Amino acid sequence: MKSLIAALALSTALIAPGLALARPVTLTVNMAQYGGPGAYLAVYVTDASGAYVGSLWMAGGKSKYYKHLSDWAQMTGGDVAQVDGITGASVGAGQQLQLSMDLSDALFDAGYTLHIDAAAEEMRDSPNEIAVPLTATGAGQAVRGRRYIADFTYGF
Amino acid sequence: MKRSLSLLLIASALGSGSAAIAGGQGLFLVPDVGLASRAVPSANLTLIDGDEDEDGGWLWSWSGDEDEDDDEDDDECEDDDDENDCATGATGNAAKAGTAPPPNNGLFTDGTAPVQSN
Repeated sequence: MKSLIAALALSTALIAPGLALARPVTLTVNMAQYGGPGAYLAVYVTDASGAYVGSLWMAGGKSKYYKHLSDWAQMTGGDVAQVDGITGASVGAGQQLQLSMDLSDALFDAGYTLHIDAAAEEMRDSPNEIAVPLTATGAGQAVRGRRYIADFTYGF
Repeated sequence: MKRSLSLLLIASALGSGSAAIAGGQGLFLVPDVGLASRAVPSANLTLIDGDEDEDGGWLWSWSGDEDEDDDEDDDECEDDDDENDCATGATGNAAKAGTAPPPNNGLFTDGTAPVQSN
């Protein structure tokens, strides 16, 4: 039932964006001191069944390296259009990436998960380094990465 | 020059079959020590490493990727790059934030695009 409501709300956002409820969200990625060059990051969302919904941001400008963001690449087929207009620079070790965006309310508490794939040159790929459910109570909770990302937080 | 003359004389002696010339004149075959002492160009060994682990494995190198004409480590489309190619995606890269509308994936409301705030 909850999923149905979420789906309806999301559909409303697509059909009549002005009617959809939205909230400003800030995503903060603190990079670890992994001792390497700037990392590419793919930030994307899957639904409750694990299916790809869409991308929120791509840190890193050369599409030929996107294959190293392997989960994202597998889900999107490496489709560059998925990150048109939402691409920025790669993020260096010890640096911070902070993103501000308006996201549909329907994404929260509805089984959606935010993922981050990470990779850097001459280092190991790190698919799905961050996987955090999008919930109202999860806001402000830091989630630790395992290789490139020290921690990730989303907030309202 | 000297050697050439020597060889010419020897050849003449052999050709004429005149042992007297060879013996009388005191000609003798001089070993060509030049050849023995000639320095052989040093053979520089070049280690060719074409074995690259490209796909997702441990310690792959982006610089040895299939696009061999691009050996640059820097992103062409970083924040401080104002090239139009990066903005329009003419190079095959995605359009930078702020240069094109965000994808219509239903995640962003009112078509508003995310921005990097730091």
